[in-house]
Amino acid sequence: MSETLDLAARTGLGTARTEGGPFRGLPIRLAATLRRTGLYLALPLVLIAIWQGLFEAGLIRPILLPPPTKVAQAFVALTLSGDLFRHLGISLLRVLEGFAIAAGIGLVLGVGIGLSRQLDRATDLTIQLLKPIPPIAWIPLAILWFGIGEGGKIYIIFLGAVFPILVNTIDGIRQTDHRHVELARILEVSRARFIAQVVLPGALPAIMTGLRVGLMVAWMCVVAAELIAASSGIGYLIMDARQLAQTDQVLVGMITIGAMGKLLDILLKEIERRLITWKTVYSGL
Amino acid sequence: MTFTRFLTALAVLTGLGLAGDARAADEVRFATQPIPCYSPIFVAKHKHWIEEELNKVKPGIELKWSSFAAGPPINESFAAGQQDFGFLGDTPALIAKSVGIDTKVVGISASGPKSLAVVVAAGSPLHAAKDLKGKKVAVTKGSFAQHLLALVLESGGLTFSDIELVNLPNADIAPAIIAGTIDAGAVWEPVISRFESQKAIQVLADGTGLKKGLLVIVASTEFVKAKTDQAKAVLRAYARGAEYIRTNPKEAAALISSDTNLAPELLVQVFGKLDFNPVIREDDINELKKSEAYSRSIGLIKAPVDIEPWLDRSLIGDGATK
Amino acid sequence: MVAATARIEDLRIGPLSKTYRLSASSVLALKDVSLDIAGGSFVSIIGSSGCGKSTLLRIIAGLEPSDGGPVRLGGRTIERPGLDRGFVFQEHRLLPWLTVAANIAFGLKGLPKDEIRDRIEAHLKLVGLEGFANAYPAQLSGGMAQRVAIARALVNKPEVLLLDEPFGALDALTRIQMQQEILRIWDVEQTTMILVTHDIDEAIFLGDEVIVMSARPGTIKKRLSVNLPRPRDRTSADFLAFRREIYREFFTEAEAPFAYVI
Repeated sequence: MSETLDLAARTGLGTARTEGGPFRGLPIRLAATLRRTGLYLALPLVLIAIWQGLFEAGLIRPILLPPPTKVAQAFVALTLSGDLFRHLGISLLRVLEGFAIAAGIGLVLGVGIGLSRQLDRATDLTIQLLKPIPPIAWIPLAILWFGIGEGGKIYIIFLGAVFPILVNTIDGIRQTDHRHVELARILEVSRARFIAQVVLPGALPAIMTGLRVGLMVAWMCVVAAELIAASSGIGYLIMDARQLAQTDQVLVGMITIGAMGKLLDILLKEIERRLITWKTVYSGL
Repeated sequence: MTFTRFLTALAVLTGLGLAGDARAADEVRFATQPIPCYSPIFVAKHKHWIEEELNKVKPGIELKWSSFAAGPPINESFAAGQQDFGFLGDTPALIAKSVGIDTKVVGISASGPKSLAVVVAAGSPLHAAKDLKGKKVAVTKGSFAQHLLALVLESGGLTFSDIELVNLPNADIAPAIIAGTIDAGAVWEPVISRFESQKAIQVLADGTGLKKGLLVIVASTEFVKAKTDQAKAVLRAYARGAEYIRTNPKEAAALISSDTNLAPELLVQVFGKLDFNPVIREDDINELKKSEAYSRSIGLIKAPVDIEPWLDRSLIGDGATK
Repeated sequence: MVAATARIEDLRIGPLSKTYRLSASSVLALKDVSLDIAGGSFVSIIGSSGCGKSTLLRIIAGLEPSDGGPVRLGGRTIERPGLDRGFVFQEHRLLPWLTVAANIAFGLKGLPKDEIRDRIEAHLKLVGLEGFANAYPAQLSGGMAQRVAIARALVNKPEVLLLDEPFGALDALTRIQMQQEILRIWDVEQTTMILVTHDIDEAIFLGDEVIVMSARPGTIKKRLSVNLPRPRDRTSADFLAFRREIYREFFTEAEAPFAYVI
C-alpha cells in the first residue's frame, strides 16, 4: 500500500484517490505528501507528548524540567514582548559578522595553503596547535584584548567558524582531480586559468561543506561568546534566565537556537544547490 | 552467557547512575562559595566542630563539601536535590524560593554594610552617586549587589536607565575597572579588600545606611524536617566558628586563608566588616522583606515570597551567641 | 574547414627506454624503442595491457620523461607538453562545470574573442556537434563527450594528435561510429595521428601502419603497413588477412601467454 502511494506520488497519478487508511478519499499525491510529513514530525510530537504526560503524572519536578505547556507560555510571552526576536536578531548579527570574517580569512588562507606547499609548511604547525583549542577557552584572552564590547564576542564566533572553513578549503584544493591537472598540463594552461577554472570549481563542494559546518559552529558559539558581559542576545537570554532559575525561559532559548540553526543550514544548502548545479546531474568522468 | 552478564552489569550501573543524587547513608552535604562572608563554616570545618556536634546526635556522619562560584549554581544544585546546606546571598536565595525550590532560611551566615560596595578605579574623578550618570557600571545581575547599586543610584537621584549597565561576574568586575573598560561596579568581599590593598580601586559608596548586606544559611526543607537534630548541630558548629573569629581573628584568618582566597592580613580586616552571628533578628527579617520587594519590582522574581514562613528560627535557638 | 598551413613534420622517436621505480623493485616498461612516423600519417599502436603503449604515448606527449632517448618532432626535441601535440584520453576529462564551448576554449589563450568564437564553432562543426555549444558535459552521451574532447584537442591546431584508447569507454556500436568520425576528422585536419588501442579491428581499420608491441619489457615486435584503400571493409578478405597476421603475433608469444580480450 505504501509503495503504491509513493510510486503514485512520484509518477503523478494525481487523479486517483486512496482507498483506505487514514487518508482515504484524498488524492494519492496529497496522501503521500501527508504521510511523509507525518513521519517527519512524528518523533518530536511523540516526545513532547511523553514529556507532558510525565509532568501530568507528577513524575518530574517542574523546576528541573518545566512541562511543554509552560515552555509554550514562556515562548508566547517572550514573543509578544518582542524580546525573543530582538535578542535573536542581535545574536544573528553577531554570528553573521563573525562568520563573514571567518569565511574571508578561511577561504583566502585556505586557497593559499592549498596551492602553495611552502605556505602550507610554514603555517601547518601553528594551525594544528590552535585548532583543538575550544572557542570557550579563548574567552579570558578575548576579554583582555577586546574588552567587553562586541569585538570579543565576534572574535569567539570567528574562532569557531574559521577552522572548519580553512580545513575544508585546503582539502578541496588538494583533492583537485589529478586527471584535470594532467589535462591542464597538456593544454599548457596558465596558472591563473588553472586555478580559476580547474582548482576552484573542483574545490567548491568541499568549500561549501566547510562553510556549512563553519556556520553551524559559529551559531553554536554564540552562546559561549555571549558569556562575555553580554546584555543582549539569545545566549544572554539563556544565562539570564538561568541566574533567575527560570528554566522554562532557558528551554525557550535552547529551542530557538536549535530552530535558527536548522534554518541557517537550510539556507546554505539551498545556496549550495544553486551554485553547484552541475553536481546533481554529474554522473562521472 | 557473557552477553547476559554484560547486560545485567549495564543495567545495574545505569540504575546506580540514575539513582545518582541519592544521599549516601549518613551524609550532610554543604554548598559553599570561597569568599570571606562564609568564614565561620570554614573555621568549623578545619576545627572539626561540625563532626563534633554531629557526633553528639549520631556518630559516623560524613560531610560532603562542594564549592560554587556563585549563587545560581547553588540553586541549581539544590533543585537537583544534591545539597542539604547552602551559603549564599539573600537575593539568589529569594530567587530559588520564588521558583519553587523548597528551602528554609535557618540562619544568617553574615551581614555587613561595608562588605558590599560600589567601587571605582583608584584616583577616579567619580566621588558621589550622582557622578555615575551616563557611566558604564557593572554588577552581577541577580546578586544582592544589584540591590545595593539601585539604592546607591537612588541616593544620587538616578535610576538604572541613567547608566549603562553591564552584567559581569563578581571576579571580573575589578579587572575591568582597572583595564578601563568600565567606570564602576557593585561588588562584594573579597574583591573590595583585595584590590583596595593593591591601591587599584577605591570605594565610592558601600552599604552603610542603605543595605545591611545579608548573606543567609539555607537548608533543604526535607533535611530540616527529617533530621532536625543534625541541622541544629550544624548551626551550633557555625556559631562556634563565629565566636572563634570574634575572639581569635588572627588565628582564624591563618586557618582559613586558602578557603576564602584572601591573604590572612586582609582577611582580618574583612572580619572587622562582618557580623557572623547566625541568629535571625528582627531587622534581618525587615532586610529580607526589602530585598524581596525590590527583586519583585525589577522582575528578578515572579512569584512573591512570604518571608516569615520561609524562615525557621527554631534551629538556631540552641547555642547561639550574643 | 581547417586546412593545414604548414607541412606536417616527421616524428623521430628513440631509441628510448623507460624504467618505473616501485617501492621494492623497478619495472622496465620500455626497452630500446625506436620509431619513425611520417608527418600526416595515421599510426595505430596495438598491444595488450602492460606492454608500455600508453607509456610510449605519454612520453611523446611530454607528460613523462624517458630515461634518456630523444623524441624529435621535425628539428625540435620534445621534453615537456606542448600545444603542437594534442592528446585525447580514454575518459573525456571535460570540466563538468564548463559548457561545451568553454571546455573547447579551455586550451585557447591569447586570442581575440571573435577568433575564439569562430574556432569553437568550426570545431563543433568538425566533430558533428553544431548547436551544442551551451550544453553541459553531464547532458552529453559518452560518444558526444569524447567528440568534444577531440575538438578540444584539435582547437590549437596541433601537428600531432595522440589518442590513448579513446573509444575504450564507449559501447561497441558507438565505437565503430567514432572510428569513422575520427577518419573523417583526420581527413580534414591532416594532423599526424597516433592512436593506442587494444582492439585489433580498430587498429587495422584506422591505421596506415599498425605497430605491434610486446609486453614486459615493452618493445616493438612488428610493424605492418596496411595498404588497403579507404573506406575499409572490415569483412573483406584482405582485412581478415591482416587480422590473422596480427592475431598470430599475440598467440605465438610462447614466453608470456595471455588471454586476448577485445
